Amino acid sequence: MMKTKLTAYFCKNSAYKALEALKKPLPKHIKAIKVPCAGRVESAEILKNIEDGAHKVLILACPIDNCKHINGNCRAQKRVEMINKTLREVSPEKDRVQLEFVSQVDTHRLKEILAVY
Amino acid sequence: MSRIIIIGSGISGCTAALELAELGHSITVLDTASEVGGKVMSYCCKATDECSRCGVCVAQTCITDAIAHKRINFFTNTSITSVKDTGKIIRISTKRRNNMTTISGDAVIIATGHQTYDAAQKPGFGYDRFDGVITGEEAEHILSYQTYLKKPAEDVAFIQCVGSRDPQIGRNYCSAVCCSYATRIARTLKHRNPDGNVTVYYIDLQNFDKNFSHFRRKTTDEGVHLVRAIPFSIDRTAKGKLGLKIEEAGGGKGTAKHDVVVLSVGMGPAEDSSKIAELFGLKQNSFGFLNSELPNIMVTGTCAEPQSIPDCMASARSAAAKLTSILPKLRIPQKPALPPSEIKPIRLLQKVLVIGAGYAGARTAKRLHSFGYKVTVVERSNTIGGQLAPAMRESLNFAELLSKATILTGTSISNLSGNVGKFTATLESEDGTEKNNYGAVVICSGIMLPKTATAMIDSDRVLALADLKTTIDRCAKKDRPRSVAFILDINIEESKASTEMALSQAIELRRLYRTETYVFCREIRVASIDLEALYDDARNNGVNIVKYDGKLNRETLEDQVVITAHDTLLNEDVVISCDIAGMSLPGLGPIADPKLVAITGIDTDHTGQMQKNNIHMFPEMTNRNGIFVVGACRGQYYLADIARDADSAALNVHSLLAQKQLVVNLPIPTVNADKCVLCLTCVRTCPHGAMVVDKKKNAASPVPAACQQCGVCVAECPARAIELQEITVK
Repeated sequence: MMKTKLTAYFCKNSAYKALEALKKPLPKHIKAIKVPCAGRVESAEILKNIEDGAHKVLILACPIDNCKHINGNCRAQKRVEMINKTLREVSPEKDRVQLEFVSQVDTHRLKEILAVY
Repeated sequence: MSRIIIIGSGISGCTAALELAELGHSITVLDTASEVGGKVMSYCCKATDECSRCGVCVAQTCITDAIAHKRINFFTNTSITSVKDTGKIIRISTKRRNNMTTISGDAVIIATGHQTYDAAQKPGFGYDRFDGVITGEEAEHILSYQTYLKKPAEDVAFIQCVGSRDPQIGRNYCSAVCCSYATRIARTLKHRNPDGNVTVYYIDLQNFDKNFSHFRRKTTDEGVHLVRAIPFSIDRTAKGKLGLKIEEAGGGKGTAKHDVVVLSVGMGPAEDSSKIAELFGLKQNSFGFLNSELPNIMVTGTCAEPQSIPDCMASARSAAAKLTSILPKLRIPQKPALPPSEIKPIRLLQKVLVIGAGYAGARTAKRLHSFGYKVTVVERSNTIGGQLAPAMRESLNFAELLSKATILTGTSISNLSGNVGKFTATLESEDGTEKNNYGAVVICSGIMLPKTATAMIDSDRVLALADLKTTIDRCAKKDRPRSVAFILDINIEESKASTEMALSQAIELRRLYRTETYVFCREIRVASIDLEALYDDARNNGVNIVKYDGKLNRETLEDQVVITAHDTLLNEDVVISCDIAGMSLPGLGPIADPKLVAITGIDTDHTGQMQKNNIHMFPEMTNRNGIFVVGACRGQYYLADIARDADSAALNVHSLLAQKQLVVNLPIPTVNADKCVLCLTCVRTCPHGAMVVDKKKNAASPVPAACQQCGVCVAECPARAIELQEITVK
């Protein structure tokens, strides 16, 4: 069976550092994108990924109150909630967009999150 | 360029190394271990979905940055054999495997760290007998590679104060960090396994967070049991669980069963502390922690006092600041700009504005002056000294702190425009209004009480805690109050500063006038090396301490104040009538001056203090580049910590302004003026206040000096007029 095609956005201050610390290349079906802050990821861009065939979009942000840019992660959270709400109206599938809070120290959690896909 | 040697490559050593290397000094870091980073590298992240501000991520970033820095050299596996201090140059002979080398430097920073208490010395807990009993340090390490401690879905208990606050083993001090890591880990475990039980047995829960009341409420709401009790032995039960025997708060005995017990072991001085003290000619206090009286040798981090990661980083910066003011001044090397940047370098004015002439402001001003800056101190009231009691002013030599700065009393700020390098402040006084330019701003404006809180201290019998002692001293002998109540923690839980103030005043009143003293508090906060002794002193002098649950009824009659509260230790209501009561101001929920917050555009946390509760900003940074906060306005009341933060803030200002000009070498967003409709969404959403309206272009425009390249504006712009090339696909 083909595995889920996943687009993952990594915040460069947290999740991307954790990814580097994992020292393992990502499987081919995961497309990793490094962003300066989770707040940088536009709603339109997330939807574009789904349009282009990604089954799931994952946004990895810093834990709340740990964003270097104060509230970028909360902005991302709001956007993801909104997109999921809209998508649910279109199709009853499970949430296509997922937001996870991972700090740079939490390499094992990042591994667990990515292992699902 | 000065050569500085740092002993110890942990978080304190690396922070100091990084700060000094950024200023252009050449640093050598020695460590006996085989790897750089010390203990913090094996600690875990304690965030749920929300950061709990343990500081591990910030510390690890700092250490990686230090390793990558070209002016810092690390020597691992290196021990020190002898030290020769000529007063000007310090020569250290080192041994690395079989190689003997002598390194010389102009100054030394000692950051040899701590070691945790050996839990096996408390045989009752069975640390070496039972598999499920682990130490806090081990818990940290386990959680750094898996999400549970021993098995998924476990019942975990934390026992606080193992090897701290214990005079019987010669450790009569609070280790300051155990409450924070235990509560945070407890919360994380509960978050990961909501069905499992997590219990923390504590004596007094120390205040370890900027918004501690809020943090504690959230922790208990999420289902972590915080229980005031002292477990004294652990045994294996028939079902393979760990059975705890507990001395409960009321005095009774109880039992409890858990799968895993984490012993929150306290901090002690590192094994080689006495050797280091001997080599460098330092003093050790009665518990073995180091302190230095030599100008060119600094002691910082947990080898000086038990402290948390953010505190270690702040005190390392403070040590670096102290060294910077005695080392020869440097021209800071320009950070290289990326190839052709269209933006012109931004000139940084060498003048600093300090708002507030309290202790925080004075200390910052003095440190900044020692770095060679012109400092202007603006104070709204007509006197200097802020909330400091007159006796404290003398003992801190307050006038001397401000002697070199330009002081403008009776002056307030009505506007602050501009950005880092050139802030324009409008200063208003009786003589008129003037506009001045400054390169950076340090806010030390202190606290303001909301109206509901000021209403609580309006009568003659209920005073602010700080005024209590002076008022009583002024009384004639026959009018002198016979009984005094100190009320702490009334609206929000307070820090160790209030406990210290209340206890020291109570002790003095007992000694001088034999006054009956009652201290009402939720917990005794003793998270500093000498406060436990002060607490002992208070108990020995007959100060009555009532631990209540935060609900307190106070009735002011004509000749007395009647206080009714529920004593959580006795588990019954107590009614105490006294002649006079002192209210601790930090407990009333003070806020930072809202007008100043609006003028400066600084974020506040949800209790209204300046600075968001965000670990990346601790201790003095704000969301705006070039504006710093120190002292009570951000919720810090403990004088020693304010001094440390003030040094740290001054060093931050120095490393910013000493560059003389700021070169922005990262791409900043570009705004397409044709698409921009001036909806101001970007101006509103920019977390760093870096978006302004360019009237010439009739479009929004980023300020290069303030922009931090987060790209929030790009994502938020409804017209999609902003672009920023900062996304890479891997």
